Amino acid sequence: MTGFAPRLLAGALTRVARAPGLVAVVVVLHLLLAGTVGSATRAAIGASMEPYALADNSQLWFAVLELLGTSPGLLVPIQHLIAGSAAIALAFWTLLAAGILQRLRAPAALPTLAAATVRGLPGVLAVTFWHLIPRVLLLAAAGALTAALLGAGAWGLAGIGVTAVVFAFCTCALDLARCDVVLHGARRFHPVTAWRGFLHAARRPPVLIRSMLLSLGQWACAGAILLAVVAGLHGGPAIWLARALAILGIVLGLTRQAVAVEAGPYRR
Amino acid sequence: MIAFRPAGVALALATALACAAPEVPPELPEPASALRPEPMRGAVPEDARIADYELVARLDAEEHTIEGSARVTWRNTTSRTVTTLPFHLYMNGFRAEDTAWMRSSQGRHRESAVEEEGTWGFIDVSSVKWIEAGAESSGPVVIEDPVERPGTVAESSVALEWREDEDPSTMTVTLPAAIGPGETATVGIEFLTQLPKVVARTGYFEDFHAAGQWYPKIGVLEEEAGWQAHTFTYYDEFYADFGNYRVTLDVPEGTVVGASGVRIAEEVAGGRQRLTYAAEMVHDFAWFADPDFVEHDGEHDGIRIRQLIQPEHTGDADEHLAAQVAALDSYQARFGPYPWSTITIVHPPEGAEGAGGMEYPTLFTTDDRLQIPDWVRATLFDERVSGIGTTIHEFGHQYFQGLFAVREHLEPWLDEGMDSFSNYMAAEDQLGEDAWVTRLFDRKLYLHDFMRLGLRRRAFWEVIDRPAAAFDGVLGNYGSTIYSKTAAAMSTLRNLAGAGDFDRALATFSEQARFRHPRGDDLEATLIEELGERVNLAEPGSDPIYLDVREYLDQALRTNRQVSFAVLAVDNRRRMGAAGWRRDTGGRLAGGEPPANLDAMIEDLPDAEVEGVVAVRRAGGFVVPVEVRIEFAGGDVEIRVWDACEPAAVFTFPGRRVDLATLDPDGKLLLEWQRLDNSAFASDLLWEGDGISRPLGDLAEGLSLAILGSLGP
Repeated sequence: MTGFAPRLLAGALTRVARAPGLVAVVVVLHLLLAGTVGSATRAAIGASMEPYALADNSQLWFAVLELLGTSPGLLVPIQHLIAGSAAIALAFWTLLAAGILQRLRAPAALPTLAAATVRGLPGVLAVTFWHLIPRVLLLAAAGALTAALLGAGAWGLAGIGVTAVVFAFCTCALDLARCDVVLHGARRFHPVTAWRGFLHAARRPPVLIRSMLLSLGQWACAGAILLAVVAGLHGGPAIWLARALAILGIVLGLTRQAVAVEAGPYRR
Repeated sequence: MIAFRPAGVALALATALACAAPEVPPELPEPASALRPEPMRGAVPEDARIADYELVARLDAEEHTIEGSARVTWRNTTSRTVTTLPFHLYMNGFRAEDTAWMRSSQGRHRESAVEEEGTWGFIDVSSVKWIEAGAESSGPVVIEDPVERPGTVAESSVALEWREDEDPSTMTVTLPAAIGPGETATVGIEFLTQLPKVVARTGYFEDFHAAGQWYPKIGVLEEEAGWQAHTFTYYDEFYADFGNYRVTLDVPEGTVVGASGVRIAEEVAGGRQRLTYAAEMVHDFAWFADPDFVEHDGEHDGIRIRQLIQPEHTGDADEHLAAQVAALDSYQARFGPYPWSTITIVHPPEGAEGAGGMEYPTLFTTDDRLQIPDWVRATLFDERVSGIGTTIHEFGHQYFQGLFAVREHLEPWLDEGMDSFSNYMAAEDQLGEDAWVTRLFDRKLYLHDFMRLGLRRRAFWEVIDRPAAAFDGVLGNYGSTIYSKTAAAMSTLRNLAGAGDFDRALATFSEQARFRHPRGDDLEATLIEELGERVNLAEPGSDPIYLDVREYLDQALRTNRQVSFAVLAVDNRRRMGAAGWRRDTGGRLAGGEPPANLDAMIEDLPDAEVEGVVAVRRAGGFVVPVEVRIEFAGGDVEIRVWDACEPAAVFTFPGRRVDLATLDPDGKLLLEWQRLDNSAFASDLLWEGDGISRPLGDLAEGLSLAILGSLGP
């Protein structure tokens, strides 16, 4: 096991590094989706402000509140854009999951990958659906337990931490279950396949720990992106830092999936 | 009282972050007297003392009733002769659906509603008796003996005829003999008060009891208008004369009680406590009882500050205390010494929020702080509004209504509005330049931002100077009009006329208003007298541009005109030169030179052939001078004051290129709530951007990246 652990992460990183096309596609999709949201927002607000300007940047929050107060309709398309891009991304990663896992396992021609994606889709959808039930239950139990131990008022940081750990554990279980279905021929529609992902994750600490750390790294990137853009409202290159962090997050996410590929099939 | 939450418009002074483990300080002894010593409190005019009360009350904590009796001694300080005495029975506003309060409120107040079974509140008067009449006495009313049981009315007294008025929130007592100028009358009243479930500042919730407006209160006899005892409606508050109170409360043993005034006697027997309180020169008496209250005492400037707080919020007590101390310093410096020896701050429990944010003499209720983890407050987000903002606002009422006993129902702006305004000044005193109220990272919203955000369009639907009952809850504009617009109107005047002169005027008003019933006219007259009829706003050496103070106040208080300005155009154009035909000395046309540089681009022309143009507009009907700040190419800045008498003006600057024009650059006009159209770049500088779309676009893109990054791959 000691020799296996470093190889696991190195192997996963190697798999990602050997799939530059996949990384590029994912990065471009991410940046395009988010860029569309950003540019649409800039255009909508710019049109509302025409021909006026905020002369004093320190008044930005008040100006934003005034703008949204006088033009509340502005917020609606922006909210829809953000929610829409999230929904598209979620659908996208679910629909393409089989193809991504196949590509991380081994290089393949595009038609082969496309066929694998289509073939694997029903299984991915089924395993995702069955997985959601224990995920919701586990998250609720963790939340309730933390609140009971700490008191609802003191939930705060500890609660967020516990939730994140449980969420990351579930993500690892889902990755492993999807790999079992797509790569190792497990029963596609049986709920046990999805639930066995949890058992698989729990019985393979090296896999679980690396997967969880990579998940947490992804969320740390997401948090850092938010910090960067909010802190950078004075102007400057904050949005470029955010984009760079997004790329890093994507690499971490693909590596997390590669860890599941590297882990191999579930064994009793 | 706070009529609406955050936006409402309260603010905060305390700067400390969330406290560590709460430590309850030792209980302080009761002050020796309800009033501070005269050298500290100042003189109390004897003729202001008009209505004295001796009250005895027994709380049935199971039935939530108060069995009580009152002995009311009233002095006629007017030249009128009266044959009736009107009394407020405020609690009857909650008695049935057909009362004026219920009709005007639709049975709702803030988050509370009178709609559940068993939540009706009422006050049932069972007898009114004549005790005595006499010549005016200048000495204190002698309260012979706090009675042993409910019922202070002597057996030998004479039953009086009395009846509830058309609306049961008042009743009229017919006297057996007329009471002339300088005479006194003493009547005894027995009553049973049923508390409603907490609604509109009073009531019960589980073991918590808030006894506000729980006893019959005599009206106010005014020299010109006669008896004043208004029908209680949704936005109305209370109006009464000053006097001394002696109140004995009989409550279950173990109940922690907070009340107006100071406790002068305490007795425990048979599972009950009998607590006697004395309050001097106040115009109301309220008390709160809850076995769960934790007492947290502090002291400042010889004034005992007692908090009755719920156990789960004791950690916030120090912040409330700090806010209270800061407010006390500010108000005493600005409006004169606080005359009483105690302040009691009551924190209602969760579920009884409808009792929070209400003022009574020497006692008020507050709200709890938002429970935000310390690390969040220290890093990401912090605010100075929740809880402590309410504490400061309600303390402000100890002056604006408690000490300056305005006619709240007729001139609510003089109560809530001026209190809100004074809150801003107190916050400014405490926080100075960095008077932020919310902070997201290093981005802050300041007090003046909050004042503007409280305005919105609805603040201008109706005028400020109108009775509370004239506002209809369906419009939802009472708070923005009375609280926010009054505060913004006074702040604007202060900014324009100068803080020093304005503050002196307000101090003069305060001195005259102590223990009196000041009116809006009094405040306006003082402001005009102290500031002058006209204030010159122009720079020394320039043509004068006057602010007419009387007209300003008239527009602000009695019109719904809006302060609104907009930049219409900022441009640089070719300056007309001397080319062309003109008459020479002989009367003949001469010259005829072609125009120079007619086709040249503006940016290619020398400065001497260019003129900057700024066009501005008064978009609102409110006429008030405004500053226009013009930034020129090269960095020069010029400030012009525009009288705004005409609806628009054009300023030209020969030989100078204008980059940017900004109206009201220092934000003095707090009545102007829409400011996005106050700045514009010259048309050839539009590439500079609007200053909002880029950062918000970046924010939206970042948010999207963060969500996408969290969801996949």
